[in-house]
Amino acid sequence: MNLRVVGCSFRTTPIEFREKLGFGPESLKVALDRANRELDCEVVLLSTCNRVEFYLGGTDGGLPDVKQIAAFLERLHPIDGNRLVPHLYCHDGPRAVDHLFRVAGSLDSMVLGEGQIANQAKVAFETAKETASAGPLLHALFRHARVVGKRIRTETGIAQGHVSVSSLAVDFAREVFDRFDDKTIAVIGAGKMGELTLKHLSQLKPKRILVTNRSPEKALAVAQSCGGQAMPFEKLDEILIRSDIILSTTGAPQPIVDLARWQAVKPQRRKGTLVVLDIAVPRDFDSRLHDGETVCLFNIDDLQKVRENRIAERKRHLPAAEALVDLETKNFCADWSRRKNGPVIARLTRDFEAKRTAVVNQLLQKLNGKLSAEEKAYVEGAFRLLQNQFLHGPISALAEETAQPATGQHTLLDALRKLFRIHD
Amino acid sequence: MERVSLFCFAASYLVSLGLMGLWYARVTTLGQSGLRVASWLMSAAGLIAHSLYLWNWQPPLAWQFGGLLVLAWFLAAFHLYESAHPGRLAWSLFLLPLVLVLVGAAALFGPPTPEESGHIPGLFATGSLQFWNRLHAVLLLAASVTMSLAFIASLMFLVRARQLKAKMAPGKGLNLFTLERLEVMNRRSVAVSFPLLSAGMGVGLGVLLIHADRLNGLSDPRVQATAGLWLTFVVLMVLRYGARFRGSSMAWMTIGAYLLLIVCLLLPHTLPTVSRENHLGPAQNAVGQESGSPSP
Repeated sequence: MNLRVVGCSFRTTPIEFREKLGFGPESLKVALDRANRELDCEVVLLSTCNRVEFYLGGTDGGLPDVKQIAAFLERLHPIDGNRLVPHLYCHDGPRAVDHLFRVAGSLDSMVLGEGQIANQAKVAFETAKETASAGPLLHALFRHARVVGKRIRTETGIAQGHVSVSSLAVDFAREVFDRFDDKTIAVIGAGKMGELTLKHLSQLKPKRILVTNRSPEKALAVAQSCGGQAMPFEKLDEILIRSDIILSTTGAPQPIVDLARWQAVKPQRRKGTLVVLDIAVPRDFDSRLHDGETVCLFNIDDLQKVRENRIAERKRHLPAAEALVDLETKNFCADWSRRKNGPVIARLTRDFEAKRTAVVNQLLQKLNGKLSAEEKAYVEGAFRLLQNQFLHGPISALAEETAQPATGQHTLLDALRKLFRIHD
Repeated sequence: MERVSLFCFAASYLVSLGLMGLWYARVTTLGQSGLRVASWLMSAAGLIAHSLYLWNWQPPLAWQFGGLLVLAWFLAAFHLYESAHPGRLAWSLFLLPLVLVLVGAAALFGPPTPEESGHIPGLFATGSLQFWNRLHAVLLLAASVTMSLAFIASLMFLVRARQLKAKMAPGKGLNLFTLERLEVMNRRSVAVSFPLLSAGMGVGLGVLLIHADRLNGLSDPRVQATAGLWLTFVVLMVLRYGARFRGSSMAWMTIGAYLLLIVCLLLPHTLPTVSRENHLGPAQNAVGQESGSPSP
């Protein structure tokens, strides 16, 4: 199998390199167009924030090596190719297949089992198809990778549950509330993590979003970005009364809602449970508020703890996922070799049949009138048996090589082509 | 049909509960979906046997035996419907034990003797005086069913609140409904059962008042306990809608009210004996004479 992957990932390459190597949707097309002209092989380019990989395939001839790929990247990005070479890895044949299947199943991702990589691999392949840089081998490989990725996610527990802090915060809210279209979400402060969590919470389509901040301008900006309503920070008590879910991300050095403040506000609340997602450090809400019923308070440590447990849980499923990758790698290699061997075997059989028919016809003409119909059938059967016995050896050997691919350049298939003079 | 006994359906429910327990414990040797389907089928088999038993013996609702068995039947039917939905499997772990307790209590008391059942109409009995008696029984039974659901919702609420208090990771532990949904279920069930209970009591009181010879039935322990239950419900409603009680305090009060309801069901009716012909239809008389009492 003439397949190679050359690339770098967060495991081998520091961020200083990776951030310069990334491709956006447009630059990816440009790179593939250039690869079509300069690399002379099938190419799929997978570019994410954690990896840049060139999948290279071809029918005959050599494929670009690490130095050639580094030089190619040097022509596209402002980097020194020679400095990049030590960070690039290269896998050939079945190892390249295994690598892609691991990537597609997110076994090689920074967050084990994350779901984005499957879509990123799909986009990489679709782009390669658009630019006509993917040929039959990479078509078959990426289609198979998609199936493998899906099997890993559905048949093992590697992708169970959310592991990002912002998604987990939403999961906790979902444990308490059944519906959100009648709920009010309040955001206190405006940190980066808060924005991400708010984005997830907004997807629940709450009835109202209230935003408050010590800086009214910041509150207004966040409110506008999420279609919410800005409230002065002085009205924090009113927010506590009106809200069902509070997302707090301030940089306050001390809790902004302590037990005394909450107890003063609590009798005025006409609502049910209040869910507080306190992802600020130091914490914004006094932990004594949490009782699992009137107030469900989850701070950053609670979320991190669940996250770590989930990741540990996912790791338990790693052996099963790896076994699946091994199996599918073998299946793909065998399938590809069969596809490659098929035409040669058909050609070989056709040639033998033609020769057998010619010899038998010649013989029967010479013996014309001397043989009965039964005897003619016997002679024809004997020659067919001889043909099958001749072909059995080479075809079996080819099948054996398919199961255990040869590592060298010259394969049994090449030998058969030469020995029996089979030309495409 | 006469060979169907209490043991048949109690055993089916027990096996169903055991299978669901294995499902929750993630014992995967039998396959998770296989366990779920097997549990559901055992429940269905139990419900069929339960139905045949009730149809065959027609135990009187006014007697503990009949009241408990019919209540258990409704809860088993509700369980069967709910557990067909994969997202509502938690019902099994709460409803089936209650069904088993009710069937067990029924077996403990046993069916009424022929003398006892002489003045109590059968489950499907007909007769000129039966309409109001049956309406009374049906309303109280409906109140018992909805109250049972409120009781289960309260138990689930307390477990859910405990999970949240322990900050258990989402998806871990018993997969229950959300806190909000459980509270709504509890509130609605109590709100529905109160008018049913009131109407049932009103009809019963009316029957006693119309028949002056039965007025001393007011001293019947079951009548008195039901009156106590009604007063408890009044308190429950005032606290819920007047004082805005909610959450676990409401759940505990619902559990208390339900226990009182069970006490009511366990108490016998000691209404004065009236002529058997007035209360039993011809069909019931025939059943009583030919078949005798059901065998638990």
